[in-house]
Amino acid sequence: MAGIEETVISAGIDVGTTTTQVIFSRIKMKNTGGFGSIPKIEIVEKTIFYRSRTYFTPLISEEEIDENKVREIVEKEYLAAGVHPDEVAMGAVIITGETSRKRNANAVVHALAELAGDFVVAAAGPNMESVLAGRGSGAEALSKKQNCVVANLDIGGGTTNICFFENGKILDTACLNIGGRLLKITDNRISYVSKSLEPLLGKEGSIIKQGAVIDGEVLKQIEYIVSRLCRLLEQAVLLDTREDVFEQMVTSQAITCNRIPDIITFSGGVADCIKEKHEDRFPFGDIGCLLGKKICTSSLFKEKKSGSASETVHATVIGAGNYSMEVSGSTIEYCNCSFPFKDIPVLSLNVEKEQLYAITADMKRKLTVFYSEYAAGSQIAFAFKGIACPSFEEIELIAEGIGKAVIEEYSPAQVLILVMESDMAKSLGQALRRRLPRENAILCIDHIVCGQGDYIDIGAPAASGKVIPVVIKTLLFSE
Amino acid sequence: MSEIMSNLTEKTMQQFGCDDGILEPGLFWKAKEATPARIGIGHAGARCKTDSMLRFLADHAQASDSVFMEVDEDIIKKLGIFEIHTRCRNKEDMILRPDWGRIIEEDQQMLLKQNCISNPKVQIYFGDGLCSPAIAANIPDLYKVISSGLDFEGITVGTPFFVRYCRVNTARIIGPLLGAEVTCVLIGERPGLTTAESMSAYIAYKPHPLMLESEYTVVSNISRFGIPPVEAAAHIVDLIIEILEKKQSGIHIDY
Amino acid sequence: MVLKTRLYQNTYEFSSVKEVLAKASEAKSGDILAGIAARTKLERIAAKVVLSELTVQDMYENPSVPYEEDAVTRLIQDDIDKNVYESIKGMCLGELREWLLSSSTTGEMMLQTGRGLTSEAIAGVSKLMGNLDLIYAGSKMKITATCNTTIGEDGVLACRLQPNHPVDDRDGIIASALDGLSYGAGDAVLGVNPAIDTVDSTLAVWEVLEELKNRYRIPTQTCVLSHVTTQMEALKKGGRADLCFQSIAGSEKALAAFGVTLPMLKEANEMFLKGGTAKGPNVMYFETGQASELSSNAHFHTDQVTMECRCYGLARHYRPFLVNTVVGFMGPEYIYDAKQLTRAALEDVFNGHLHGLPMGCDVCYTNHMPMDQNDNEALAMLLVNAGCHFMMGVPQGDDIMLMYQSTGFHDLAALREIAKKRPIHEFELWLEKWGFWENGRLGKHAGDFTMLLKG
Repeated sequence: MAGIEETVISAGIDVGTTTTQVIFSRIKMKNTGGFGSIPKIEIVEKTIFYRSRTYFTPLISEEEIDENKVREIVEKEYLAAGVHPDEVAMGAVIITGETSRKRNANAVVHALAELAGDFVVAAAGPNMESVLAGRGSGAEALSKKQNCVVANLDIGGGTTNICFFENGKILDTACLNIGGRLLKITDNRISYVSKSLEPLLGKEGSIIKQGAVIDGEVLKQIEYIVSRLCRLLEQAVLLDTREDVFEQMVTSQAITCNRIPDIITFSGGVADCIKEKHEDRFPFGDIGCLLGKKICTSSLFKEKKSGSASETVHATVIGAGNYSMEVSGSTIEYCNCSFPFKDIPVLSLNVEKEQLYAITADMKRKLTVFYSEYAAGSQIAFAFKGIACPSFEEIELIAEGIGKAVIEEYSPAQVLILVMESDMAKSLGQALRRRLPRENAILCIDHIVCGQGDYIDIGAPAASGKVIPVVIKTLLFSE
Repeated sequence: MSEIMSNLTEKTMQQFGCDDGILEPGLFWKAKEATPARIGIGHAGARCKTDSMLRFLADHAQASDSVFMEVDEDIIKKLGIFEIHTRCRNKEDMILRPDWGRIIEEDQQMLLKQNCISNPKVQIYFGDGLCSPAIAANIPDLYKVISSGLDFEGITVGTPFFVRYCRVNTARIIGPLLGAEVTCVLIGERPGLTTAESMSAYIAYKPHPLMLESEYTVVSNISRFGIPPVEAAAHIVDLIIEILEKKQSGIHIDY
Repeated sequence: MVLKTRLYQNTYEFSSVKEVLAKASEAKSGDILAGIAARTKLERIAAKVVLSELTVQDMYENPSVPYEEDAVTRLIQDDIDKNVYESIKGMCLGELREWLLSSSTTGEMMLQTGRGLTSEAIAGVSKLMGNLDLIYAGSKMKITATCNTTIGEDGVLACRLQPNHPVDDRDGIIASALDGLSYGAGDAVLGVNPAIDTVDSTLAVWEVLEELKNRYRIPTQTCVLSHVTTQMEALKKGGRADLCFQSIAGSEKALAAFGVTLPMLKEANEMFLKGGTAKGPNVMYFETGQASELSSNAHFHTDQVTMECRCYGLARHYRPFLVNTVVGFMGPEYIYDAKQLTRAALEDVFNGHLHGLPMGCDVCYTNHMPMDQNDNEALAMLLVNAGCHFMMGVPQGDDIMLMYQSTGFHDLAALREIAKKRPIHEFELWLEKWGFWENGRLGKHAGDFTMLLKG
């Protein structure tokens, strides 16, 4: 398919603390290899062609998402966009912020993924959110364009997802319990106080509590809390020394990369409150606007080149639709596989030039540990960096080592999934086929980086079967 | 005098540059990342700096040598194969007479017939083409992966050999001579300054003297700097299987 | 018409004008490969002697491919200025040579006369000229043409910036282009040879070049060197560029091998005049190179200099902004070494000029020619003296996409400084504004393309 293109539809669905959104894009893949070259399929263009309106995320209670209503929204938007789930080749449903802590979050997101299309994957977890928001906001591209460190703060209703990029590469991520809807105000009374605020409210009897009327004293206290939140954000991106309470506001992890950002961008719902002027203090019945204003006068804005990201409130959903997926290299090998594979845990395998004889033992050891946690026969993927330009003998040794472990430890129903970084998947796959029974299922893909603790989703082959789309669900950062 | 200087040719062109006096070194190196072209190399007056001049000369010398040097007989011995030659008598003939580079004289045809099995499904042979080092650099891995892959599929592979002063179109003579269904020439590519050991595979279904150039299926840029030989080989295995199935090669093969 | 002569004890007889032309040609591996070259040096001289006595009319009446059979011949012959032709048709080529070299013959007079000469006549006279003759006479001719800016003004040596990339990567093209601009390259054209000849990639690279031109307000022109039909398609799809490119050859059959017809070129020219971004009136950019006809077996037993001349006869019909002979790209089986390359380049530039074309030369060689950069640099120096209008600017002369070596940004800067030549005026002012050029040589920011990137 020299020069030939293929366009597929990708869906992004974000069920956030406050809002739920759906987008559709066209992802254009192209063989950039040219005549006489081995195919090289790459994603060359991503165009969003449909954005839903922004819905409030339907909840049954503070603990439970209204699954039916969310389904209705998604179904309605598919209809409005004129997209049938069968047409959707890829994408992600992400459940973010406080919503991901609801009782039925996991069930909802998986159900939605099934509904949304064959290879729309369920994604969750603060790291993933931070990265997707950072990509969707345009911060990643900006860091590449300017060759500098860009920190994106995606400030939503319940959480702030932070991602640091340097020259287009992820440096670090963080997630804090800071958002525009930690306090809700209805009819001039406080109607909701998030548990996340507790560390800031003092041990006993803060006047900030559900039902409190917004008088001068309460207002002063709210503004004080907002300024504390803002200071915590400064601390989060390393502009100030962290105070003791900081640790308690961290959802999963804080930024540890020790790099001061050159540029700070803001996305998420609160980003729109930074620049927009509102007469009202609480135009949305929450503290989002106050927080936005405070950020505007803080060192987050004053000292850095900062500004709204190119995508604000849609950043995460665009990230989910456009940036969750990557494609494998174009010389790969697979046989007897039925796609897709979803939520496959990844074990890393040692494939080092000097220790190729030790692969069987390493693989068996890792399988033993794995089976102690998972049922025998559970699907697994092995990942390794691989060898740059391996020799025939090296490929044979690796295949011999892996093949032996498979014959001894794998159940017949398990697919041998190998994911590597170096360009060697096809020759390794063929070498394995020569060693394993013909009916064995093998999937060998390269140009993909993942490791221990990650989960991988693997879609059906695209571009005339030459590449395989994958989603790595938790990402490794620190190297 | 036992000290050794750092290797001038070690860095990639992306890493090779001169940011003396450059206002924004960050932007400078980032721009260099985008291309292997020789940009950002500084200047002495309107001429190149000494190291970039020497690097260019080294790269060109390597490319030029790779065209004009012979494939050592030891390399052929090590591969455990025999060799024949085209009508060309030396590299100069080879360069000046592309038409001779496809002619296999009677005595050489005899050698082929004596030493090769007849009517294999696939005949693979190696040619120096315009890049002699490509043979030693790529053939060991390339050939072993292709032949094991085809063996596994139950496809007979003919006796491999080396053709000195070889052009691609020897396939038009050799294919029919040995009666192979598919003929695959693995041949050195005309070198560029950064790739002086690349090889291409030209694969044809039942090649013959009057076939069109477009009837070759081509895989180019095989080298450790381009497509790793083992991966190219695995790809070639698939191509050959497909060509055998479709009984057709060239632009009709959708790969 | 006498086709027979004696030198020393030998009689030399030729059967046709075509054979005389072929055998009078300086040695080229391509003519040898085609089996039409002189067998001995003396035979070559005998052919030159015979040729010197042939008239302009003999050349007119003996085109390499018959008028009835070949659209290129028809175009060349029909384009001849009949008044001029009538006034010089009795002149023999030996006389024509002397007239061209005469101190009282100006460049303008030469160009006027050129309009009455067929490509065979021009090829013929060049075969009677030594290298220095070609430089001496050729340097008198200046041909101006205007796209957005004007090429061919006195004292100008222009440069095509050629920022190619192996996969047409946007950032890669931009990086090489900015580097080139910072050394003063790019006044003739920002011209990319695309790795993939598709409408989409043409559109994509056009956009990159137009964006560069507009963002920095560079007084120059843009071009992507894909096939003419690809460019027409891209123009229809709403893409924009200044120049329309095509590689051309000297016979209808050879053009067909390139997938080109004359009506196609006419249509392209009209489309770009109307829908392109250029001011004009000159919007075509042609590339040629000796022996492209032989490589597609469409040379009709004609030598490569003559066939090359016929490309110029074809080109002048479309009043191009640039014509570039890519002299060393075809390979050593056509042009073997530095000696043959030097000769071919001087012939091409002179012959192109006498056809009234703004000629440039891609002074270049492939890695399977027994040549190196020293040979290339020496030839470039000769061509500056021969009045060559423009040359290529490639990062250090190494084209990473086409895999051959040409002239580098540094070479153009040095040639300009040595020969006291300058870039095209508006472009020079632009360079001075950025500090890339000052007082007729590289300026204090030369080579620092980050000047263009920051802020």
